[in-house]
Amino acid sequence: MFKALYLKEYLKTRRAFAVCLILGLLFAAYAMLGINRVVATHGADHVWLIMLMKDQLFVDALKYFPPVIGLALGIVQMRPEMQSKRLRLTLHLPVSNNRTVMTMLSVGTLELLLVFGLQLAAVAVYYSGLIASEMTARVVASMLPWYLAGFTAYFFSCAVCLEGRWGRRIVLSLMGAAFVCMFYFQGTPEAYNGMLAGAFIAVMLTAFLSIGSVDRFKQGLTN
Amino acid sequence: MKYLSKTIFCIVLAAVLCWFLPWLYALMTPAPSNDPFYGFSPVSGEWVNGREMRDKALRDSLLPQIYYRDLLAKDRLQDSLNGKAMSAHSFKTHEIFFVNSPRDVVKRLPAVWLMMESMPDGVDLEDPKEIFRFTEDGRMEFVDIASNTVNPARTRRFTETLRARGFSFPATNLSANITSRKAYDEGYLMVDSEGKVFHVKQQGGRPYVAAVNLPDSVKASRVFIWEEMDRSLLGMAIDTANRPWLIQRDGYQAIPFPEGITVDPAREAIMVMGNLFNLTCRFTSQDGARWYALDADTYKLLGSLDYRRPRTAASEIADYIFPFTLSFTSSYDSLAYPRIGRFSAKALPLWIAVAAVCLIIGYRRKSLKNRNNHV
Amino acid sequence: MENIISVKNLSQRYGRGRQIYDGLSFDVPKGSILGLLGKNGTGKTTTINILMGFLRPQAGECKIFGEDITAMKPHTRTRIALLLEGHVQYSFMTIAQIEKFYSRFYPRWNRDAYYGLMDKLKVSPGQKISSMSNGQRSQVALGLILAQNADLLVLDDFSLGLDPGYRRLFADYLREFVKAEGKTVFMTSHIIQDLERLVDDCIILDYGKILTHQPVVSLMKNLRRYTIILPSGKQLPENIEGIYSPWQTSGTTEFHSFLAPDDVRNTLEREGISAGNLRGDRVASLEDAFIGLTGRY
Repeated sequence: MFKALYLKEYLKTRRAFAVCLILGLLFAAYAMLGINRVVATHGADHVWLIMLMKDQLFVDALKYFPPVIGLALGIVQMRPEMQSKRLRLTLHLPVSNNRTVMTMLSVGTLELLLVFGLQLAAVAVYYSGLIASEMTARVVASMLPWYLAGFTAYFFSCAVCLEGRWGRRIVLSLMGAAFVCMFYFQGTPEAYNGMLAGAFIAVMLTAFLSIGSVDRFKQGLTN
Repeated sequence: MKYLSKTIFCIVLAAVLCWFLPWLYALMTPAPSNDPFYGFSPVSGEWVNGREMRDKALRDSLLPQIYYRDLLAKDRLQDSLNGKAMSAHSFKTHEIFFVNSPRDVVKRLPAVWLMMESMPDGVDLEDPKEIFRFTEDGRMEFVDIASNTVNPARTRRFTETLRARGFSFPATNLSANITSRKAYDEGYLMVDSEGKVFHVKQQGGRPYVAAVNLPDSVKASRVFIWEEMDRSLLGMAIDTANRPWLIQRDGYQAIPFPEGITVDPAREAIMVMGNLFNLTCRFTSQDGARWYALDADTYKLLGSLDYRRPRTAASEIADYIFPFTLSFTSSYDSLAYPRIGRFSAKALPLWIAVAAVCLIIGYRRKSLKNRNNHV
Repeated sequence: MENIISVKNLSQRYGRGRQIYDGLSFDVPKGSILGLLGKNGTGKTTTINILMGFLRPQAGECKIFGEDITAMKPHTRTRIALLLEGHVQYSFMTIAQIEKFYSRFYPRWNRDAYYGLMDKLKVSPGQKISSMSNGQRSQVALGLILAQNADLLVLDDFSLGLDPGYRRLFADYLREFVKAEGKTVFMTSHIIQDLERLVDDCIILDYGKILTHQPVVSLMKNLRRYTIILPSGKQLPENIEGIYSPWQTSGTTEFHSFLAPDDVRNTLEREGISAGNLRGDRVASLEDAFIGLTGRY
């Protein structure tokens, strides 16, 4: 049964997933081209100096990619469920509604994980040939909060799409925006290292907000 | 699970409000930043607030170490004061200006450091060509940054020299000014794993390592290298009890600050202004600033001043609105993590009233719902 | 007889607005086909939404297969086939994908029933539902409902968007399927003609209440259309008990009632109306009965 649910979600999101994947790799390639350009014009040592002296990581092009992709995937996946209240079909399936919702979210999460993972791996592999492993680790650690922002945007956009009432949608959107902004308050590299584990748990817990939205949908709380 | 969802919704909403409302309030009620700026007058032996003094001529004459250019322009600079000859040259050569913010200290740094060449072939300093790291097996490993490959010869040479000078691997704190836009390079001040301080630099590709003479009972926690016009002082060390020490270049003697003076570089911004007459130190925290003036020759305490920043009306009112605030960043570090602060019991009555109103509304809604269900 | 659906004292209103109904109670016995009829806004879809757990009623109790719908076990839903109003389905799937998807959830899945209907549509299994016409989409939705082989079929406006021929075909097919397999059906439709061929019992809803709940045969037998010519300027008073939807046209007043002609005559005379020219006939169709009970507007 869950395989069938996975299939349904995959069918719904496969085009968006493919676009996200290609965009993710294109953005990574763009960032790498930027670094290549610096290496070609100023030498590889310049990259090291700027990274160590100016705290720059040369991956700013990827900074807002994850939340934008998370937001888009959430809308692509959940919007069809709310068109003509199609979610009723899903909720009528002989599976626990909560498990159904979590399965739906796990598909999007998995797809985002692949998009973000491939992008991060591409950057890490490229950098590892260019700079010291400590600095590569610094770049990766500094990018992780952006990906957490991506998952946050995804979970909140799902909860907003599944929510039936405009008032609650606005509140959830503002909460999501604030949550995503949290990952951009501090621009210093590795600033979030100390809270990554806690933030990861907090972000994953926001997945449960969709359960609340669906529960309210089942109560008939829709506009 | 729906209760978990409700709980998460409430927690996230509360967290957002605890962060957003105080932030919005602070944004709407900007506080002017007009901390006084003091200088210790070698003329009167007292602190002078240069910004507030209306009589500029008097101010210049009281603080010749700061306003000597104005005095020179008006031809009012005396030849000497307190037995010290005063000239533009003498002021410049005794100039020290060092600042350090907790933001520079409380931040995550990569465990690799750039190493400059202190004695380059040409006249000017050059950008570093290598980095070093401390390996787990106790080596100072050098890596050529152009090729990203280890330089085994330099690694061996530095490691051996450090060991020979009694350095315990690895370094726990390092300080250098990595830029080619400076007059000279003194490399690094390093704290080793036993709290001893070393001066380490590269001269003609070879290591220069010297131990700083700190008493055995003192363990350093942080060091700050100065590369100032006044070359008598190499930098500053802070010990584990937060007592600052000045490090003299000649003989690597460490001179403690007068008894009772402490500074926490992780919480206080440090500013040291040295001149012909004194060493003026300002340690700024969130509540105010502590000023100390040390004699430029003996480093004895000449005077101190404790400035407490007055609270604004908006800040006082905030105490009655917000029982606590949530923030993720601080102007006193470069990290991001949730921090709850500014607890205020004065705001409790307001929030007890709000909670009571919410409870009454909730109770009324519940009873209305129950009544409907029993119809 | 075992009741598959049991509704007791159901009350619901639109948000904080108009009361849809108050104290609605009815049962749907096993093996019966019950049609819920009513004008727009009388709460047909609302009732289905409540029964399927998509709307929490303000008051009352609903049970399906003896289980409270607010705490229905997921497995029980394998026994209920639901057709949403507008034949909503996963339009991003193809004919084959959607069959494969649903077949995983229902142990008694009848693949042949689905593909039997699809063959009539002249569509390929790889065709996406979103690229089909409204009528074709409706037939896919109905095919899925039949393939589910459920004990209870809940059909919300099943005839919407279907050709007249296919409506009739489906109604006959459904009746045969339901009667042969002992299924229970709870359905609504805007097109009353279709229900006449299909339903055993009907509930006719008016704003805020049930007008009648009885077998269609008995409804058709007992409900009469009466006409009376009233003196000029005279009208039938509102709310005479037992008299439904009086309607005056060119001097003749028309109304419907379950009362026998003599009883109607007595009722009218008690109201001071001479019933000398009263005429009563049986209603011709369920649609006439529906309009007769609910009025023309």
